[in-house]
Amino acid sequence: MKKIQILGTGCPKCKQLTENAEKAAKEMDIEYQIEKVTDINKIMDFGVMMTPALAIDGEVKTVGKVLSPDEIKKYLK
Amino acid sequence: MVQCSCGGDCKENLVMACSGVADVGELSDKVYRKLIKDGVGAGFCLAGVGADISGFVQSAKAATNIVIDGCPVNCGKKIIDKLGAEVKSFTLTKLMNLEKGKTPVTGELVEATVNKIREELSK
Repeated sequence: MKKIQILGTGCPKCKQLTENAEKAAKEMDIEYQIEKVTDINKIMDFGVMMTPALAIDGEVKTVGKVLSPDEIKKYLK
Repeated sequence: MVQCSCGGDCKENLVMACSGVADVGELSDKVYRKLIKDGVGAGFCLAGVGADISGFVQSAKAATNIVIDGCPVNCGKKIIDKLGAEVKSFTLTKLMNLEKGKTPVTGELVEATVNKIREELSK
C-alpha cells in the first residue's frame, strides 16, 4: 500500500494537491492511504520549507508545487 | 519558518552556513544567524541536505540558496552544487580578506561581514 502525505497548512493549493493525488491513485487503481500533515512542526521535521509538499512512503518528492495527477502518477509507480 | 506558496510561485531564500570547526567556520555560523534575524532568508540546515534527507533536498532545489562558507574548501557550496540548485555563495576568507586559523571572531567582524553580504546580495 502506498502512503501519500500532503504537507501543508490547509491552503487552496494543499487541497488541490490532495485532490490530484487521490485522482492519480484512483486512476492507477492502487491501494493507498492519504494523510494531510498540517502541523507546522511536523512539516519542518521533514525538512520542508515550502508548502504544499508531497511525500510518498515517507520520502518527500516535491515542495512548493501543485503537481497534476499525471505528474503524481510518476511517483506512485 | 515554513512558507506557503499559496500566493504564487515565489522562490524563498534559504540561508545556510558551513559552520565548520575553524575560526572562519565559527564566523560563518554567527553571520548566518544574524542574516536570519535580519530577515535575509529562512535559516536552513546544510547538514540535512548533505545527509540526503528528501525534504531538505527538495526544499533546497526549490529555493534560492544563500550559502556562507568560511574557507575556500567551500563544502557548503559543493553540497548545493551537487543538487543543481540555485546558489549565491560567499567564501568569507575571500570576501573579507581573512586568514583561516588566524581570525578572532569578534562582534565587529560579524557585523562587518553581515553588512558586506547584504551589500553583495543587493547588487
